[in-house]
Amino acid sequence: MGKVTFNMTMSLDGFVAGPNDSPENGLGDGGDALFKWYFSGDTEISISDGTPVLKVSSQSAKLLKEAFKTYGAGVWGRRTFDIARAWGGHPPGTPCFIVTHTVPQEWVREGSPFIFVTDGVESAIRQAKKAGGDKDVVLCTASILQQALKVGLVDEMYIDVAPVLLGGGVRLFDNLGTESFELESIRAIDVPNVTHLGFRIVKKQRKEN
Amino acid sequence: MQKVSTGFSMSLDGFIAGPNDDIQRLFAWMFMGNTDVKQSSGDTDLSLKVSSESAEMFEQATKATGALVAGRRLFDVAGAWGGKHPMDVPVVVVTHTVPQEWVKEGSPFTFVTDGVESAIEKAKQIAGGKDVVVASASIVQQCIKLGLLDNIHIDLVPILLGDGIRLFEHLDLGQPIELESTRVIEAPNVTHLDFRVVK
Repeated sequence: MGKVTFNMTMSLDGFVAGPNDSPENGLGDGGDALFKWYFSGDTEISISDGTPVLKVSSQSAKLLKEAFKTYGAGVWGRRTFDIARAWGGHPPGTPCFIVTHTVPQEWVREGSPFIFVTDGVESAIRQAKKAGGDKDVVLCTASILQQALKVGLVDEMYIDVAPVLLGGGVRLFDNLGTESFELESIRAIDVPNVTHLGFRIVKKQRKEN
Repeated sequence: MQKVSTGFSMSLDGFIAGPNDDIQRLFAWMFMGNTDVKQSSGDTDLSLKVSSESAEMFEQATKATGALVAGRRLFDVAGAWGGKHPMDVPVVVVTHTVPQEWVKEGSPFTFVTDGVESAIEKAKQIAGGKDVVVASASIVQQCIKLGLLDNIHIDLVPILLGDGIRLFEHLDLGQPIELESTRVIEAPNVTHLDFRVVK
């Protein structure tokens, strides 16, 4: 059975996009600094056909390749989908589930890489698990992570910490309420322009009857 | 070269204290290891038990630190650390009103009423060439905005608290502040992160 994981790049002050993010300003004001590590190394790596080739450090390339191998399906939010302009039809991973209230009909057609889910995050994860088989379901949007954490559906989080303070924007860990979650560090790898952190969510023990 | 730095235990979601100033869970890693770190505050023994990796980090930090800068709120919440901060270094407190009971011969506290910049300057003088560590989130935020911070040290605790006091808040920077990672130590129950502020 695959795991449900999360992966995004976050600034040290906790933002996954700077202020004023929009389709014209994808990562928000100053947010390009988040993705510097994708374009400042010496190892070329391709995420998918149709997306720009990345140039990362050799250590980051190794981790990315491992992540590709275990990718079964991904879940994004509608806002990310819109801001990324549907990645021009080439999402960073397929199958690609988009949680939305209204389905953008222009992407509902034979061969579309997108599957739209209108009945919530839990349903999207359930469908993605089915599509991903033994491989992992990867959550790639802050609001999706927040909702999935609250219902106990997340197994691991991989956070790439970018060495920058953005001072504002979209917070990764927001709207969580006051319930705390115990984690366990899986890795902390310091490479040029990024620190790759990984955490396992310690599941609450069910009481034995 | 004398540096201005931070030193905080912070949850992965960015809190240096939980709701109601609760720091118990964030400080738990300091009591879960097998290496003793002797320290005390006032008459209270506050010795720590950390992993060997963390103990080495502590030793370096203790040697390098010459003075602390704290906000008045922290000073009050900590009960003036019983009269002596556990790190046993002088503390410069930024405040509007000076608590007269701590103004006396031999007091480790210096009160500064004319702002953060002045407090950092004072702490640098007192520190005798060693580093100044800023111990309050609100002061760190002002130091970042004023360009006074050189290093950011964070003891990252593997927990999501959901609420409390955020270290990085109210920054509203005009443009991003570039950092450089200088060290990562993955120790049991905590990950020590060090960044340099690129100026």
